[in-house]
Amino acid sequence: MTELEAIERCRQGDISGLHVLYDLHRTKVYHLSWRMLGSQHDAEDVLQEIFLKVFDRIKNYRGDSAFSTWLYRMTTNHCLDILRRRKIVAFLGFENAPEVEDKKDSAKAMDLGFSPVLAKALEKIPEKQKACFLLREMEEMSYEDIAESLQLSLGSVKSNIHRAKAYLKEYLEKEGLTLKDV
Amino acid sequence: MDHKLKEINLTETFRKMGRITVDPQVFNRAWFKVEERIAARQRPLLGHLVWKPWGHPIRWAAAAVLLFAAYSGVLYNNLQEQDNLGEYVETISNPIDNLAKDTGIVHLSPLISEAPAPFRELLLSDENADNLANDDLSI
Repeated sequence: MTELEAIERCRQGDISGLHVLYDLHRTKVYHLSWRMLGSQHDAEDVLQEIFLKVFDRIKNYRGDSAFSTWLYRMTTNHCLDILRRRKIVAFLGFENAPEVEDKKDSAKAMDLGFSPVLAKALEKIPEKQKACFLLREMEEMSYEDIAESLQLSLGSVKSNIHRAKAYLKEYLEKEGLTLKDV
Repeated sequence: MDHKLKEINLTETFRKMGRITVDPQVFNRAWFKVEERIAARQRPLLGHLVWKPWGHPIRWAAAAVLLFAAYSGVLYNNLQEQDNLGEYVETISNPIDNLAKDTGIVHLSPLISEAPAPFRELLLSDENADNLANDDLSI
């Protein structure tokens, strides 16, 4: 079944169509949300939520842009919502609980070859910059697709990526790491 | 030149990170939950049994009306019971006063007003008296 056929089936409420879309895009959605939120556990939750949203909102997808662009837009917005909520929770003084989970996840990240220093550096980048940077560097999306996904101007996407990179370089140098060691 | 080389390495590192293989169990588990949640939504009976008044403002109003009706019903019932009890207590606590208030209608007990039963004489006569009782008397 092709992606278009799967989308059509999904529109008709057929779960087999959703399964095909899930198999095609699950890894990228998972990776993107993992990097955005810094936790594998949260990424798994996001994966579920996003594909439920896809099933509910597929009728709104008109096909003007690529399905992956539409999907990443939804994923990024969902992650940004979670990060915003976390900020509120932290502001209210409940920030200690997620930290325990983060420590476990950084251990898992090490097992998978993901540098905890980089994970920490990523955590400190502002959300929009992080989203642009991750879509570009990890998902290898074009600037145009990122702009469409995040509903930003092309210039804004480029400047967000540039700032994120500059921040990462600065952070890693402060940590005493040369970029080759990362 | 050196700066350019560093930037390429950073990009490569991140792209490598984006290709990290994830345990397929994670994806299977997530898909199972997605399927389960969609199936749960499609069960019409359960969906109708669970009423969530917080889902819509009109439901809030409906819930408020129901609560008000139930509360006023209970209140009305309590007031009725209190009135009945008050009337009863008043009646039994001051019978003379109640007699004074009597409007002249006399309610006689059927024991007084009705004619005696026809078998009364039969009960008083010794005609059918027990023989054994007669023996006892003779002793």
